[in-house]
Amino acid sequence: MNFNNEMLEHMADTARIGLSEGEKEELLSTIQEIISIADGIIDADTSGLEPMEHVTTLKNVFREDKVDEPYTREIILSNASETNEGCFSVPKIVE
Amino acid sequence: MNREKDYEVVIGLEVHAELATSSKIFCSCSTEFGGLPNTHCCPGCIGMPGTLPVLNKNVVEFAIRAGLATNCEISGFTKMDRKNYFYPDLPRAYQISQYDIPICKDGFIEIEINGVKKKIRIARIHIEEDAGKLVHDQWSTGSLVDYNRSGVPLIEIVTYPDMNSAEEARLFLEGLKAILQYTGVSDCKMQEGSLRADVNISVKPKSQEELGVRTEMKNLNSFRAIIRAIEAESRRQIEELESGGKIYRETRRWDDEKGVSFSMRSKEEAQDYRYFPESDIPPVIIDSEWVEEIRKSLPELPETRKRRYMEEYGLPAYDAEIITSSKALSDFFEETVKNGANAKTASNWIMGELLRLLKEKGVEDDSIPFPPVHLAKLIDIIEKGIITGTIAKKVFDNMFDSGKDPVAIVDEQGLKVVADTGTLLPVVKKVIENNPGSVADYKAGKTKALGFLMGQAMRETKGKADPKLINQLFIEELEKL
Amino acid sequence: MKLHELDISQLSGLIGRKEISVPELTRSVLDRISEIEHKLGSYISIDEERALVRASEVQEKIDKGEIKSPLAGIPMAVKDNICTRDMTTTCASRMLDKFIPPFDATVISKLNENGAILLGKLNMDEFAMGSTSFYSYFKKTKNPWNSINTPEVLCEGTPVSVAAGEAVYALGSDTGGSIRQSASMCGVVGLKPTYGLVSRHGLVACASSFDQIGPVTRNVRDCTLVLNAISGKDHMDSTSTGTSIDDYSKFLGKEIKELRIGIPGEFINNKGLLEEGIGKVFQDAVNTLSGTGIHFEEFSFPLMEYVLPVYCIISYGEISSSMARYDGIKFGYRAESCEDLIDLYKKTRGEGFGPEVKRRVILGTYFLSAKQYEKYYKKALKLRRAITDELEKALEKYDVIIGPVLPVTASTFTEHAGNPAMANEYDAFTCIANLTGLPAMSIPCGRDAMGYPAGLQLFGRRFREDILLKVAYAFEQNLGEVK
Ligand SMILES: [Mg+2]
Ligand SMILES: [Zn+2]
Repeated sequence: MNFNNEMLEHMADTARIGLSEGEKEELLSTIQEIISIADGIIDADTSGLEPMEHVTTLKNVFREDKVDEPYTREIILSNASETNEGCFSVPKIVE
Repeated sequence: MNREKDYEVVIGLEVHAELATSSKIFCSCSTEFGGLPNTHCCPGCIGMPGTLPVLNKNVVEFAIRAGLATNCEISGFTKMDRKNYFYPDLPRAYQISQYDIPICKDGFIEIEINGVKKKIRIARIHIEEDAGKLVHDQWSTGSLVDYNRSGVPLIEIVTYPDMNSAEEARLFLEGLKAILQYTGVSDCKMQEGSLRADVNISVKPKSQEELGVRTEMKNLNSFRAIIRAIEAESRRQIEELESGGKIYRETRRWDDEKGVSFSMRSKEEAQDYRYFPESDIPPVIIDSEWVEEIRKSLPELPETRKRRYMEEYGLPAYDAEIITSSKALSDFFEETVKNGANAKTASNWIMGELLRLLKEKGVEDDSIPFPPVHLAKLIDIIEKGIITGTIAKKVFDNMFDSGKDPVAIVDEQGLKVVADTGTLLPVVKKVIENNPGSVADYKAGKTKALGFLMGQAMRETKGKADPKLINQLFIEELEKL
Repeated sequence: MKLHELDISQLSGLIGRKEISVPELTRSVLDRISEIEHKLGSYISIDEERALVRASEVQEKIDKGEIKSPLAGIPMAVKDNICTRDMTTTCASRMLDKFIPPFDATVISKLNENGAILLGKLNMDEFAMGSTSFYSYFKKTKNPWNSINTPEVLCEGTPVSVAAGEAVYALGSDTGGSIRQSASMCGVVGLKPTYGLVSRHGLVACASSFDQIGPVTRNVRDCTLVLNAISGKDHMDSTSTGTSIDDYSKFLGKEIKELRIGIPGEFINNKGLLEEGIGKVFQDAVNTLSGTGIHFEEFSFPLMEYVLPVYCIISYGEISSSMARYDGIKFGYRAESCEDLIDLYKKTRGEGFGPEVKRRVILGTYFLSAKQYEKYYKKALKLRRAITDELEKALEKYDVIIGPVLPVTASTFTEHAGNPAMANEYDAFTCIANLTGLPAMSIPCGRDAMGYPAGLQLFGRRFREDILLKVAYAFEQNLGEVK
């Protein structure tokens, strides 16, 4: 299927990115170009190949179950734009 | 067709259990419950840029323990994946979880319903991180986010749709809870949210082969709510079908106060989680040596314990079932026996007085207010005839309230058996004198009357009279008449 | 000779012999910044006061014999996607405009232990998506080789600061080629180490399985000195790996004529991609080196055709996920007057991200979506394996593989910086190293017709930076520095 405007809007919604009409137009054409680059693998033969999920050859890298001093709440909240009662605040969520 | 009995209810569960680790799954913050909001946090568990996850080894081991205890196969190769979705309680906007290769798969738990054993199959157990908590303050204009729970390790246990009633679901959950507690994998404190379940339910006419459309109810956090939700939802679905309606694949929200569920969102527009491998965490290879090491360290499981109680101690199946269904209760029982008490007597006290008081006073069974050795002592002084059975119940109540040693209670309150003829003979004589009717009955061959007379004497002595001696005295005195 | 033109070894010698003091040196580089920064725009933030305080402290430690590192007292800077405690780390994005990390990246802690003097944070493309600063929220950084007679060339701040004497060395990050491409255009040395050699803890993630921090320096010897300090296993990064090599500089100056060096035919015979001017600079360099008796061999790398699509698909997928945490709640930009949660997300991310980030996030979301996953992402992961196997196999035969860094000149590269599809194609030669995790570096090898530097790229075996640097050093001796 072609990556059309409807798909662009759907993907932008999924990624929670608000776009202006102008942005949509610009993005649509460049995204289509990049998808055609990506389509370069469609005919590749990948039979017998296992997906490469990790670039490192390491395995079983663990930490011990130990508790460290926590950061102060002041530091934890220090980069937030809005806080309230020691919490991060968000617009009211109605469930 | 218009009866509930013409339908079959089909139930599958997804249970989330918080693991009993000290630190979180990917950082070294504490998993302790409670605490002021955002005080068990670091840059990692609030998703700050630049931070990376490092897997807690105990999480993997606990998951393997849970898998072994539920007869699962342990994956030799396993890995983490990202599950992407936006919600304020999920700080990175992806949950590090497991997708196609869970750590354990294909297990089962056996339940017994109406005397028949049934296997409830487990499809998979995987590890993942918990999210933070949203606080909805009805007075303020916004909601608040607390990340103390963010990154607490969970296992998610997914069953096949093998349960056909709320009762079966309850039995499965009881069994699972006991196993997780026995293995030390989770404390399963439902009131702290460390065990919660999503319930998938469908109904179908019994004659029908294929399953009906299922609905899902999320995050039920008490057994009572789960049972009620299953009952209400299966009834709703049957009524819907009966009135010619249709069941939609959807997530529903259970309101335990009102006892009804509401449609949340339909699964048609279901979220696309865009799972993909988590490259920040190298794969986990679990060789058979590791599995065997963990298998060897597994404690005795409830099923085995139950059988042992029946064989070794001669407990009835019912008692053994009740006691072993809770690790705390079972451990308490074992300790009491270890301290010299007769097993059957200990079991009677636990099944009777102890459970009654726990329930009455709303105390959890892992917080019994006195140590097992006190119960063993109590049983000992009863058997030695130092106190009577009647007095023993009073001492037990007192022990439960004060936590005091039973011997001290008996001493302080002078509750020892009165066993000297000099004290008891006048009482016996007085009772005979005051109850000519019963005496006549006895004389006429109604032996039951003796019981009544003894009861009177007990009352006179506030339950402290030695029953054997008093019985003997009555028989002697009545003979004389 | 001016202090800001000297390299680490020279400056370290001067400090050691007490011919200059650390505060003096720091002051002199800060003066150089005042002199030239307004023309170049390398830095997003400069902390003079902090650098000078630190300079005095380090001088004291050197005097007491508490630090012995050759990096002690040397002023440097880092790309602004590397977390610095109590100092903004913006990723050149409106989104992190005011973000102050409460912790240092592991590389920063390591450099601190070595007595480094951090001057400030360098300009870049937003969230490291590019190599020209075209997509920086703050400003565009200019190549120091710009002159009135040539079209203006843009660059990341990292190599510019080093080339222009605004820092003695710098740390960059490389997801698809940033370190090497921008070093190439500025005539400095840039190394992308093997994935895992340098801890990523504290590097703001772009595409997690591609990202790697690396040194940008005036020459290969400096590169080894910085690598010594920043490499090694870190318990904060599960993908980091220890190495038994404690000093990369000891391999420099060793004979390399016995070594076998391969050139992928697909790099140089690719007429469509390779610009003539660059082909010539590369060929001239190979000729010069062949003249000294070094042997080169062409080989075939048939999977080259899949490199770009595979790179795009996987890295954009990862980007869509690593960019998801920016929602205005915990840190970073937050849009105003939002009605509800969805509105907060969309406005914040719509206003906080620039066009390239949005493009890659949307594309990555698409490649990962349930309907497309098998077709794109999973297939790309399989090809990633095949490409890696093929290149590692070639590296069994060759000790080092070489090629151009960029297929085009610095001016063509800048000209198309705003054209996403073309900019993408220009990553073809460099992103191979990120796809496979192999180490790769850029060393200067000449100048194009416009007078802009061009780099020679060297790929090495996994965790064999020793061989890679040894060869690079030998090449550098023969090719000379770009003057
Ligand atoms: Mg889950
Ligand atoms: Zn934490």
